Amino acid sequence: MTFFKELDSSAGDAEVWALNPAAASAWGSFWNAMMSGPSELTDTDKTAVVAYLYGLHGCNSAFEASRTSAQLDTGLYPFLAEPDVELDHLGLDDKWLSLLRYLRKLCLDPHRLVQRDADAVLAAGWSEMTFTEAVDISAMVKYHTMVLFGHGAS
Amino acid sequence: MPFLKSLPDHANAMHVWPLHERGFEAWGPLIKAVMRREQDSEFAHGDKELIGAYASAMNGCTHCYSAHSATAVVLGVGSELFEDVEIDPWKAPVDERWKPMLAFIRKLCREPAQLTQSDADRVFDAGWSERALTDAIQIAGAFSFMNVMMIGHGADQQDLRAIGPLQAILRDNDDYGYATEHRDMKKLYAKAIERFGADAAEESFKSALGVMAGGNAEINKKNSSVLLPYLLKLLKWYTVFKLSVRRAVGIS
Repeated sequence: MTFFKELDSSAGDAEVWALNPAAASAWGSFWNAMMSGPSELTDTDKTAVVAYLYGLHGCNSAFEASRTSAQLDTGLYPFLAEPDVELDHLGLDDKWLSLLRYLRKLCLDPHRLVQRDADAVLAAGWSEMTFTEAVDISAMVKYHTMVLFGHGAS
Repeated sequence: MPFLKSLPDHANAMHVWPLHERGFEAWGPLIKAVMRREQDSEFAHGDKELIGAYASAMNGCTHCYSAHSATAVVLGVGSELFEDVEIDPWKAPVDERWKPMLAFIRKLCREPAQLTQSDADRVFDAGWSERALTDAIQIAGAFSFMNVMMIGHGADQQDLRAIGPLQAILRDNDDYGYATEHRDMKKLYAKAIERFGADAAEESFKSALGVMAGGNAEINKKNSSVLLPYLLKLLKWYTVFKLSVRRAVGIS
């Protein structure tokens, strides 16, 4: 149920962004820029990370939409089965575990991040470029969830 | 202290953004679309800075809060709120109309899933339109993007209050974002002197230079083909700017 009379009660992402057409257009380009280009993460990996972050934020509509649209396999991405579950029990390899731990803390408890957390990501074999990419994607998801929650369209 | 070795100790957004060149290029049009809609917006430039600064405070990002609260004050927003920005928004020293708006933004930043129709209705009951609230949500969301990016890189603690006057002049020109090459720095400097006096103008420009050009050495160390075009643009701008400032203050 949205908070705005201007929006239909079932309005979703597209309708909310349409309230500011210039921003909607720029958002599409921004999203593509953040999710494309050379990376250690595949496109599917990035979509899985985005879905995980939506789940952590409790933005259920976006979580389900991204999980189903990309047909993400919870066997390959077990953290998508239940984003609230502690990561340590999912049998993830060290590389994924370090990155997701960092993103989880950035999402849920950002001011407790310390150098050791970042070092763990890099020590696990991720490059600084991927570290930045993942942080920036997290920031983008935060922005997106705020737009959805703020309009009552989450 | 920034978490990445490639970032300097004093890293700010001008250092962090070039780490993601594609995103940086796409960010400019987005932040402009969010912040510029002056002709039919209920918010003046200062109000938008206030919303961005308040969201940044709620997210705990000193970097963005310091820069944009200072800009808001130069643009005419009262400084009382910023003396204790954590105060309960319903008791904040702001116009009554702003209290439900600040309460909404606070909740949007800290407990977004707890927002209800009542929170929005309090904003509307105070006289704000749906358009105003959607603008405020977009601004708070965009600033939160920056906050998370800076916090995630451990680069959120820089105090950028000194650039407030320069940013205010940019806002007067409906100018947003970090790209500098399109700006006529001579005109900006002249305008800063006219508006704030020579000393304040010089101080703000010096600070802005620190912010905008401070990353050159570190970026250069990367020797990255991705960052090189950005570096060249920045160096070109810096050289032109330095000459224009020296001429403006009568140094040959």
